[in-house]
Amino acid sequence: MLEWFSTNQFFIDITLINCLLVLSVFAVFQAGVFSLASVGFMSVGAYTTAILTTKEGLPMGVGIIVAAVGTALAGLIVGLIVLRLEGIYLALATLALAQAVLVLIETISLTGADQGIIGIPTVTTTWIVIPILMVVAAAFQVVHRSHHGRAIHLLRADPVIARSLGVRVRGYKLAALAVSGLLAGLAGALNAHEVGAISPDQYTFSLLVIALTYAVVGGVAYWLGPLVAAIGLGLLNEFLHGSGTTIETAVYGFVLIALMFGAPQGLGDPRLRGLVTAAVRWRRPRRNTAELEEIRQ
Amino acid sequence: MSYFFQQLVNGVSLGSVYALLALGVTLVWGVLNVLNFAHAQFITWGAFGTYLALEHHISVALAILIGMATGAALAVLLERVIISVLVRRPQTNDFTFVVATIGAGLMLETLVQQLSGSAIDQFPAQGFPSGSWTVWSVSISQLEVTVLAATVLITVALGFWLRYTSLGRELRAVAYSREIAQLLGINARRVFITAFVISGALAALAGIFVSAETVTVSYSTGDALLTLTFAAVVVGGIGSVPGAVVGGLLIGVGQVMLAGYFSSNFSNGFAYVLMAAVLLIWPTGLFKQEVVARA
Repeated sequence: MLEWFSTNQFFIDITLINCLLVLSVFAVFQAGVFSLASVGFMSVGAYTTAILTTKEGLPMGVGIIVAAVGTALAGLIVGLIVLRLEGIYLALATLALAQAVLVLIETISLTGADQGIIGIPTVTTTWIVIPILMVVAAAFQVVHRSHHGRAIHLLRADPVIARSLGVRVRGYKLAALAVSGLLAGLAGALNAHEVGAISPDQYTFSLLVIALTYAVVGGVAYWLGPLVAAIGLGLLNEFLHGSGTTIETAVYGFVLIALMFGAPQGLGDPRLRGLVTAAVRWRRPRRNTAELEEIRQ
Repeated sequence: MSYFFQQLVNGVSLGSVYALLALGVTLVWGVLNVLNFAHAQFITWGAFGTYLALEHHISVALAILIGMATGAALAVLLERVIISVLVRRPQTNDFTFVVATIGAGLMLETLVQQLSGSAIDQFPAQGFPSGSWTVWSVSISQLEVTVLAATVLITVALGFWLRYTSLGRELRAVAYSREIAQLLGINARRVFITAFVISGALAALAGIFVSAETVTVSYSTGDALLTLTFAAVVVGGIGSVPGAVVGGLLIGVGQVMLAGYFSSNFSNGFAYVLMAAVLLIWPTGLFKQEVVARA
């Protein structure tokens, strides 16, 4: 067990860091904000800590905290700018802003232009990532169970009704973008300290698509969904690696289309739940707990 | 001064490629409210269609038609297999289409990557116009003139078609309101397919021009153009036909000017900054979509 752990440590770390990125996408989707800026935030976080640790010589802890706080602020600012838009317009605006940031990173000398930054201390370990992920998960669970969680679910389902019931829609959406920025920045910073070298071409549209896939597979209702999806698909990805990365991308493409057809709400989709309850009923015909479940819902 | 005009000519030429792409995206958005992220694949597949035809020594004009047919066929396939099914679902929203077309684009790109062996092939551009004219010390390549002429012709034809033919009017009616158009006996499915055929054919044509200018074709030919196309569409106003042309030209000229006078690094950044600025200050773009109700 421990041996498997140490040989696959890099893969485990990257998967767990990806979980943070996916939760960043989930945080905005949950509040009904279709932001495509997560990968942009991730690059900002990575570069923040890279510059602080390699050029200023600060310790990694400081770099990561500054990166996370900085991207949370960036998320807040992006929110203040884009939240007057909705739907597809908001998606395009966040995409444009994220791309503009990437072009900026590619251009200025502080970030090493297209060369990127090398020699970042590789000090991320599984024992740093896991506690962070646990704290994040616990925070999501606390929010989910609180009145804030119910308000968020309502405003995703119907923002007009939510507002009429006194839910501060704009405030929650701003908070969602800030949390999204924070998590993506954290992911970027941890990733930079894991890999040791970063360059602008890491933060591509395809990375965004992968994060999007995980988040969509996981669904927008509950934080555990995206987490399960990210770990599950990450493992699948690792097993498929022998057959090359092109197959992997095609599989993701297929998964995205199939989900939009079969279960547009991801793992938490009522249709999937219906399948599961049907399966349970078929296995154990005498118990009618499944039906009770349905009546109760 | 001649440098300025030289850059202007180059910019208009680049911009007309964006305009061809933006026209397709804006038509599909107009009738279906679908932002097609798989649009890039029409570009790539169209370019590859022409490439294969030219490799088999088919004449240039026919090869271009084959490429456009490839793009159109792919577009129809996408509409029939994915979009039309999702449209009929009651709970679909904008995101469903974004995610589904991203998925379709990924699959199509992987397929072409696998078929072409990830190689960057040389595009056999010998048959395309290759000379250049010098007008007042501005050198204008004949290919650029061809691209520009084709774009102008297509835009004018499209404008007339939308205004004066029955199918064009049906398209505008569906763009105004699908339900009302259907109540009036318009076959909306036919309109959707038409919009996708035009979209695919124009994207393929743009892809062919880009490949002929750069003399290369690869599985990622369309990728780089997609976000720039969206920028052109947004700047012009999503869903507006004249807007698509103006947006494309604005972005093309702006990019070339910035690259010529400052640094090529700014050229892509310019498109994104302009896109973000237009969305935030003036979300309907320079030209309002005719369908105000949906903006």
